[in-house]
Amino acid sequence: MSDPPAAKRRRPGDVGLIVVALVAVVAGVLCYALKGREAFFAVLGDDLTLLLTIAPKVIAGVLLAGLLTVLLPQDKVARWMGARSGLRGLTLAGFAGALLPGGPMMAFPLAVALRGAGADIGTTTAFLSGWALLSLNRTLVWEMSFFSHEFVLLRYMLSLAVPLLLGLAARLLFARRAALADSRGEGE
Amino acid sequence: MNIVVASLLLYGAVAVLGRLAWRRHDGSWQRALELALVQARLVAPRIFFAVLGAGFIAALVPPELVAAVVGGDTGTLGLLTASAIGAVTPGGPMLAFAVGGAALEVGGGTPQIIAFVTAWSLYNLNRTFVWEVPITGRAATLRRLAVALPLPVLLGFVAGEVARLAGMWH
Repeated sequence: MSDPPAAKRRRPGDVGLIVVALVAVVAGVLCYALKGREAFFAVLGDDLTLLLTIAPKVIAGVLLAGLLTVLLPQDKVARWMGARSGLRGLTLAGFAGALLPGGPMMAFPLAVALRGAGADIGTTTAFLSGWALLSLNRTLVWEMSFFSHEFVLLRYMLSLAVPLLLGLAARLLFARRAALADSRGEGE
Repeated sequence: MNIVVASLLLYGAVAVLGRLAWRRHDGSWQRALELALVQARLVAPRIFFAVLGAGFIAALVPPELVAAVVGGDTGTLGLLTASAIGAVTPGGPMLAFAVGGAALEVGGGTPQIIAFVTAWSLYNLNRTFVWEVPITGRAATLRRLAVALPLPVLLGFVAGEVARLAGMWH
């Protein structure tokens, strides 16, 4: 369960890297052609300075992600978030998603594993939303590198309740139908 | 200054968790280091290209255009546009955040950029097709997308209201 086979179906993001590299090369060539040599090198200099500023944070970020992965009891997570876990389960799922260090190659297989372990559509939605919006690792390493603290704080605070709300919405919209199918005759 | 405080916090957390792992004496520390190395090798080339790409894009796109499309005065239409751009932005968090940060600097509005980041986070198409659909299946993906769809515009709208109120208090 901790290492679902689906995670190995694809190499982590070769496609992503190619896309990012292509974007950079095309934009660089366009910049050189349209804005001239001087502008190109000015931008390049700024970018390299930015890279140097970001580097220590990236190093700390990957160390933190590695440590969290090793220290978090991932096998217990599924037990805390069963189908009848109510609001507590949804909240837990959201925070579990926020704490999960790692990319889509980790989050989506884990959501499938949660589903298999008895979590419902609400819980997995809360989990994936928590991971997508509140990922601590991503916010610490990437978001704070590129945005001001005020912006990050505003966005994070506004998003705090979203995993719970989306989980509830998914439960109301989709889980009820399944529950009805399970217990026909009890009416709407 | 910002970046110094954030780095201190980060390395503080690394030190605390590192000590925890070290004290287990069961290879946790070594495993964490190995995982960190694997991720660093994955991340380093991408952040390199993302920063370069975002820098060139910011230099190419006229600030007036950014302000006109996703500026602070573009209202709901700007929020919708920013959400759509977030949904189609490819690459990892580095490219998305680099583009968002650059857009803020050349005239993007805070609510619009929050909508952009939220849309990218919740349902960027690249990740949806490469990871979510193959792993969780089409039905589960569609259900999650259905409830997440209005969120970026909503959060952007609330962010605008919060900023407006905060401005009134000053």
